[in-house]
Amino acid sequence: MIRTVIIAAAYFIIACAADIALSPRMMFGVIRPSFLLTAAICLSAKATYESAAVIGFFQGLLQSAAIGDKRFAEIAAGIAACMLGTRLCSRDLELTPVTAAGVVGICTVLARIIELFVGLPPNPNNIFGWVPATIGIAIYNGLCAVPMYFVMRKVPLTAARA
Amino acid sequence: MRQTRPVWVMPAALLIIGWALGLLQSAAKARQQTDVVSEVVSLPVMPVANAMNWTANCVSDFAYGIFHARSLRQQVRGLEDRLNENQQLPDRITRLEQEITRLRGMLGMAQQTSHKSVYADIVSFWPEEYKIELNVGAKDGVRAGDPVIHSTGLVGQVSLVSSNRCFAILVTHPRFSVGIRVKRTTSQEIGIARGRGDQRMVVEFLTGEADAQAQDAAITAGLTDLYPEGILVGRLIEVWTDHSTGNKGAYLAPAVNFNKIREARVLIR
Repeated sequence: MIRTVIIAAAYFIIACAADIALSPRMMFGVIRPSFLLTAAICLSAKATYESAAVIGFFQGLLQSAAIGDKRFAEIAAGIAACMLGTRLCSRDLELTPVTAAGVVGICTVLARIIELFVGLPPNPNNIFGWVPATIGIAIYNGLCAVPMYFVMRKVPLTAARA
Repeated sequence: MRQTRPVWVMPAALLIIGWALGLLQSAAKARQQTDVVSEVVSLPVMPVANAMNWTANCVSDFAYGIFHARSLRQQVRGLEDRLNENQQLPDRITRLEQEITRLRGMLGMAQQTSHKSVYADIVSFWPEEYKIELNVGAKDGVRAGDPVIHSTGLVGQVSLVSSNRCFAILVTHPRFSVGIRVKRTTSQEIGIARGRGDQRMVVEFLTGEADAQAQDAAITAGLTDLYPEGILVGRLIEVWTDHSTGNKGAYLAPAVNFNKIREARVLIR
């Protein structure tokens, strides 16, 4: 159990640091990959609903600390996205790189919708910019999920679903 | 027999904790500071992020150096020549500043606030929040409200400060505004430039007869102590007359390409 927590914490710290330092270098316009959200959804694919909620909570906490804003919105979005990830992966879905990308993409869209309504963006009128940005980020996160899926297979997490 | 909890209990409890932590963050934000939870959470993350940033900068510089070695060498020679030519400038500037201070004193005008600057690396960029994170904070003398500039122009303004990092909103953030002056030989019009939450700023001139044209440069007007005069904000791209007020307005393209910059200066008072 302690080993699992330590590995998950290390995984989160590296993903959050990559989110802060590397994501801005990989941007296309305003489309910026979220390594932290992708990592959290990949992690919760193997987890129970309760574990997924905890993973989503810490994802939101780290994300809001990185942005310096919107803590409740980020936590709510993280919990919902990770629980949806668990739900999608629990329906006899064989986890392959392609399905992992799809699950991450769908969960990213849900997280973005919750962020939009709970933590208003600086310019809420710019919905025409938000929609393409959300689609772009979902695709980008999905692509990032493919290599992360292979990493996850090597990570010896024991939070197997009951 | 072991009782199982309903699935919703854990997320509901976490949401309540998240809401309470959110209130804590909002209270700290109202004081223009980061909260203690963010500080604690960032402790293990920031050293890793800084190391990643440093590594990425090194790799990027190395690759750029290999492919542009010749032009870089020419640039270095040119800069060395200019440095030699400008050796005398600091003394001259100091003399002129003393002269200005003396003359303002004789005329009974308020003395200009002098700004020192702190160099900072841009640790992260959040385009949808119109925000950047810098690796300098209160221990370097940075305070909320301090202007952030780059060699190409005005970047934004510090909005949140912790001991060793700070967040700055960009000039395109809807909460940002600054007094500007059109910089042209035949025009010195003054207006207020505001962010609008997209790639452009909007300028409101103070009169309907404002002499402003597309492609005019806009610099900070220095109307307050906050921003020194003469920092390039951007260029006007479209000028119109607001028929409801009769005043002129314009769109302004920021001078700084926020995607490209890696370092900035914070002007501390």
